[in-house]
Amino acid sequence: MKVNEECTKTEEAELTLKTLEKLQGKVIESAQPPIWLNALLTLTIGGALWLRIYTYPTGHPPALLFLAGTIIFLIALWAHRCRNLGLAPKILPTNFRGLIFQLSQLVFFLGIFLGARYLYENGMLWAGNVGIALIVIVFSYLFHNYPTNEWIQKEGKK
Amino acid sequence: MKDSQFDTLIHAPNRLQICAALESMSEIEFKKLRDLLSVSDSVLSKHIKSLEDANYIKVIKRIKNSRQHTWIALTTNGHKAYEGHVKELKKIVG
Repeated sequence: MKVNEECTKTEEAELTLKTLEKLQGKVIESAQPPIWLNALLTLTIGGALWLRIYTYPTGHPPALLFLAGTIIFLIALWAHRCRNLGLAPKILPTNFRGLIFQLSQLVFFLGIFLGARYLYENGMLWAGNVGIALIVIVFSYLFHNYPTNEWIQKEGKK
Repeated sequence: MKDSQFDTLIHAPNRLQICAALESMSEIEFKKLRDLLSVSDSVLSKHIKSLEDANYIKVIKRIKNSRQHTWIALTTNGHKAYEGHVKELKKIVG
């Protein structure tokens, strides 16, 4: 009898956790940016990085300023769209898991960017393009699947 | 407060789901929350009142285009209670 009760308790807890994951997946899915917005933002970031690597150290301040402004505008547009849908995404993580997720992204992007620039400056001209492509692809994937920068289990998403 | 512990107030399925939805966002509008949970206005209002009384959520009323919109957010106490409850559930699952 006691074993049966334990089983039921475990099954109930498992089912509850799955329901919560599924719901959180649904919430995050609602905040997903449309493909055109993701593509525009990704291309603008790619352009800004390309300028930063290939015109270093002189740079091209007006173009960089324009691209930075466009990035801010596109992010604001996504936030406004979410607000209209009844969702206000988080800006900063509220739990340890979220913090680790954001920090690892920062370290990854910074590492790739600095590595690509270093290799480019040392004669490997292809490194800049490869680094930018890698950053852009990973960013696009993360922005689509984890728009709120919150790490969630994906099993219960659909 | 213990790191993981059952919270009888949020153990009810709808209340737990309200907390789960709010956990992944900064704020959610009442109508959106109602649609996500597939419950009626009155059921959601009742649960929100209970959670608000326990200081687990806060209700923010904003005016947009001359209409009042109700937004709901999880408080720090709410975060702690929800996380503790989920940890306890995970402990049971093993």
